[in-house]
Amino acid sequence: MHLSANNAINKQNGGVSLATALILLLCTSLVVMYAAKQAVLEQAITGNQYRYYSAFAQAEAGLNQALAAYKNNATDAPCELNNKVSWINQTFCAQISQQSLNGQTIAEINAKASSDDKTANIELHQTIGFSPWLANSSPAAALIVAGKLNAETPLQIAVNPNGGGIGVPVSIWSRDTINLNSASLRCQALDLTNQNCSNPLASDLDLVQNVGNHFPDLFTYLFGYRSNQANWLKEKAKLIKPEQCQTLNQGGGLYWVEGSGSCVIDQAGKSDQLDSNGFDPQVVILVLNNVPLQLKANSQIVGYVLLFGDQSPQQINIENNASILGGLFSNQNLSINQGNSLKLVWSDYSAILEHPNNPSNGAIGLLAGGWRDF
Amino acid sequence: MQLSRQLGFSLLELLISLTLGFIISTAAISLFINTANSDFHQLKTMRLNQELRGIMLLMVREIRRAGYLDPAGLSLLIGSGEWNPFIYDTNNNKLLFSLEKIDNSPTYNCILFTSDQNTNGRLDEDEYFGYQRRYDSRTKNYTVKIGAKTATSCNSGNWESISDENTISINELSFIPYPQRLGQQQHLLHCNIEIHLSGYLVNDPSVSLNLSQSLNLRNPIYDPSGNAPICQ
Repeated sequence: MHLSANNAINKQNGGVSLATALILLLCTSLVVMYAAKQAVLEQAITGNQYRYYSAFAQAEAGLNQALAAYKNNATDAPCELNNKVSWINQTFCAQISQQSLNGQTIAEINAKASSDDKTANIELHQTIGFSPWLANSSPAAALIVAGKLNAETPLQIAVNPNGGGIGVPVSIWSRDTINLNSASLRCQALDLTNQNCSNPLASDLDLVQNVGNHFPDLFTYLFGYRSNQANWLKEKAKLIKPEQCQTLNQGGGLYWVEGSGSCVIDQAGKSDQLDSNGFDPQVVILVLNNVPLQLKANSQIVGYVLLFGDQSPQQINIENNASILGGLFSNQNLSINQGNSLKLVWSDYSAILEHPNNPSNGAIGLLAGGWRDF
Repeated sequence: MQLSRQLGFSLLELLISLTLGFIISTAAISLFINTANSDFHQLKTMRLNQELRGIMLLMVREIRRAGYLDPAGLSLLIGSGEWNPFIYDTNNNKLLFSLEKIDNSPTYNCILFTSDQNTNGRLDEDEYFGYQRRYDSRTKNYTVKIGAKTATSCNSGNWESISDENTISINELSFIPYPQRLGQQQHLLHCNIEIHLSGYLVNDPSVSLNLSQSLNLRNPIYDPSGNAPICQ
């Protein structure tokens, strides 16, 4: 027995092989473990990216939905990100803060979102604004002509009481000379409404003529775009053909009239119907691009009319007793022909036209350049 | 008695055990070498992967916000007829978001843009950014460079490498623009930029990686001429 036990021990010949194999195994394990560690690291990086994109997409959804809500006149929203309480049933949190900056209504949407495990947090901002149609609160006079004005038709003009500065009235503002029918009158708006307009206009001091550079570009003065950027305004407008001018009593807002023929108007803009917010949705801004204007008998336009284009002089033909409550503008010489009377009442509709709650106002939308993720 | 039993191995035993040992150790060593090789390869790939993905993510995030202007600055633009100073330089009449071809590249390999990082509403000297692919004469490799804050053109300003030119060479960095006009708004462009980035390891060119990602510029680019100079 003793001998055989010794024999068994002495026959342990695999020791070196075992040691070699163990060493190789150890080395392999080390390498594999190191690589595995790197793989885990890479997985973590990929996971981070995934969570970043997931949170990012949710935050962007927040921006979009907040904008939609803003358009529906919701200016603030409850928001509690940590409990994943959400706004509009999504996993983001969006708040809108509205402020007035440099005379403009500006709002900033702030949308936050987290990944499911809360490790990736994204905060996006988007400035939105209300892009107004008029560059200034309202044009300074009821009739502004960037050229010579020739009015055969007797005009009755309700002045802008502050057109030339506080307390300095202005009736007509022109870059060149003004030739008026001698029967033209000026008065305050109320007198005109009461058929009590009696002051002669031709000799008054409130005709501002030959002013040259006061408005180097009437289009810019009115709308903020240079006249060679008129397409920018056109893009915001409802485009109609001259023959559609007859149906302008069916909705307010900005219209761009282009095509052949005259724009014949019976009624445009309507002041007797206010919507539920108390706004008159019918006030119009009409831009007639090389289209002559014809005002039918007893016609009325509530809003602003710009005769725009390169034809000179631009023409307005009046049947009897037409009126424009707002303002009439021309970027060329202007001839106002025929008819026994054109009433021009200076009115400031900017508050109505530009109020964010007016359904036919200038566009509320994303302001280009307002997105940031930092 | 014991000595007389130490007879040693027979030749046959020795040959068999040597052969078996040889086979086993060969298998073990080759397993080790294969594992190590594949792990090294994997490590190199991951190294390249991490580096290129990091660069891609950085580029996407920065380019996406090009043209940002803070709300106070934007409010001044409304109705003024002026351009966003982070998109269009009226004094020099040029778009500040531009793609260029440098080093005789057939594709756009340099991008320049600005954004209002300090939200002060003004384009400051340190708000010009960019990315480009450049030859590094010291290492003779190509690298991705970032225009750190003062990159007013592809050839001037402070450009720094963000890829490690000692270990990685960049085969391709290209920016491919796809314009989308926004509805009726013919002068506003939403540019989609597709970025292609590919590189390889300097000490093992067989380890290479191609990445591509497209991004949508969140701040639309004005197009004063109507011709979309960068997005055609």
